[in-house]
Amino acid sequence: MPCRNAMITDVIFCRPNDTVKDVMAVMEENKIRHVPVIDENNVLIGMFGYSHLLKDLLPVSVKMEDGLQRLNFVIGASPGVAKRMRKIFPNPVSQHCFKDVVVVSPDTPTWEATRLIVKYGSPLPVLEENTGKFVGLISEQSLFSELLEVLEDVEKEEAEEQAKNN
Amino acid sequence: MSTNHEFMVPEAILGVSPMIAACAVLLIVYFFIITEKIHQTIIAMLGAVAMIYLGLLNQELAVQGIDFNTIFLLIGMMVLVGIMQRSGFFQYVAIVSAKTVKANPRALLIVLSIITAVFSALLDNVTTVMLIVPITLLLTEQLKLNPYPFLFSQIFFSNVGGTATLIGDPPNILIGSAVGYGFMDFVYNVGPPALIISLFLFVFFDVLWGRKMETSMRARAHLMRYDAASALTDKPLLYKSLFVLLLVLLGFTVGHHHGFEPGTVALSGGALLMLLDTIGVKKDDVHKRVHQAFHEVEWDTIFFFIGLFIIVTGVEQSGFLAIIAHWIVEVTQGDLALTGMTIMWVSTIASAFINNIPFVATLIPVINSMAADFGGKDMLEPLWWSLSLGACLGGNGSIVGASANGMVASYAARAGQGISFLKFMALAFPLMLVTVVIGTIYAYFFYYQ
Repeated sequence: MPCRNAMITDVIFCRPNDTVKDVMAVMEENKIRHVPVIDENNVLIGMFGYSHLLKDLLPVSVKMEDGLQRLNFVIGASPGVAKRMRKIFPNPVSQHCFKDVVVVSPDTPTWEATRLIVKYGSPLPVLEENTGKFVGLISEQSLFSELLEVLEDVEKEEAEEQAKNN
Repeated sequence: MSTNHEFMVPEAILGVSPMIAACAVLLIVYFFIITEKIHQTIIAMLGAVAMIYLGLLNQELAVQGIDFNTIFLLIGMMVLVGIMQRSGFFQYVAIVSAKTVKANPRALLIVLSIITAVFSALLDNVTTVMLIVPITLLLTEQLKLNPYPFLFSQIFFSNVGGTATLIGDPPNILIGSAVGYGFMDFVYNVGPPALIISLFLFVFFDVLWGRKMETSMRARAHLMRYDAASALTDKPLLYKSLFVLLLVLLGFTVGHHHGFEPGTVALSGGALLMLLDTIGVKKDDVHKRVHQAFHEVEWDTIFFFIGLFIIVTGVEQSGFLAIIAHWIVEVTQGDLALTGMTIMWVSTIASAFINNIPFVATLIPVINSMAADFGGKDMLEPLWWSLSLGACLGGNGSIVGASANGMVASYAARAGQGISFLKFMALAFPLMLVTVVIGTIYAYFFYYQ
């Protein structure tokens, strides 16, 4: 079973120049945590989500490779962090989205997609293999609903087989 | 030339004399270390096995050429520091110091420099900057200060602090091990110039940067709210580590008189701390912790040293280094002071641009073979201190001069504050020359007058 059966194609997305504030409003309104950033040619620029925004709020000394391992000694930083967020709000979302995204193609088996989601988190963008165009998302929910449908079919077959044997 | 009764170096290797073959290997290895076209550990290992394949050494002689005192010292200290850093001690010290000076930026520049110097003297420089730079970046971000002056001064103090002790900087480890000098020999001989240079640098950095630094009272108040005690993540581990570190330092000073080499002491320290760290821990976790402790050892550095020791042994066996030594003595007309100053300044300039480890490893047998010219091994003492000062201080000359410099630069780049090669050198090179002039004056009055 390839990913094309399990993916969501009716995806809420944003453009690279949309502001972080606007995109966050869209996420809030639609109760979603991640949005693909897609340009006019349907090419994926990156993924934007609350987790990426939170990461950008951390001090650079923590974010960087081999940086500080903890910040538990910093007390009362919330006003500073909130102000930092205020600075980020008017920026284009392309500045803050995660660009090194793990992607799958419509032909990737869902078994492999499941492995990738377990490893890298949900959702993963689905890109057309040759053109690299964005075609949809595959998420924990979409995988499960597809698996449930498959289970129904399996059970139906099992019931038929049992009826035949009887 | 026969090296031991079973092993004979052939009279010609690939049609050339063994000496030329050995030098060719050395030059090729140097070429790749300088140009960084091949990773330094890979080329050192290839050079080492080439010495064997070419017939300049056999494996037995190659192994004899490895200075296991240096290797054990490096491994022992790496294990010790690797475990110790889990305790959060280094962040704790930085935060306490920052709060002690009331988050005043001018004073912060000085205390962070002192911390860097002291830690570099007692630990490996690269480890020191890996611990101090991230917390520095956090503190400067909090105080809205440009981190450059802090990072620049930390590069300088990591190398100057390292100059002061046997274990502070690889050239000193190599010299101490080869000549048999103890921890206190270094403290007495290169400690004072390192201290004088540090005082000079404090004043210099304060005049250049410190006195002009400004920050808001608000930012300082934020930093004053930091809770240093929370940075200590594992207090029992901290006490164990400090206990073992003190034992090791004691072992370095006392052990020397009883014939125990630093390598033995450092390895015992590493093993003891692993033992203390795993007492009363579940068996599975013991495996993990011991594995992790050895994971902290920079095996690429260890094998770089091993490769170099073998290469230098090959070149030494060929007789080439003795020729260089006699040539230097001839040029300086057997004048000890002139030879010492030449060694100091040549190692300074060389160490500013190439890794000082291969340079010092090559120069040690050269100096050793001058013993006859100057009337015995004991007469060479001033030369060793000149080499130590030149090679350690020279590391400040450029961003590639010492591995710690490169580590600071790489952190700065990750933080979006990249340190450019030329911008750094424009100030660092002349400033480094001033520190070596101070070292030269010191050496002149104490050894050559």
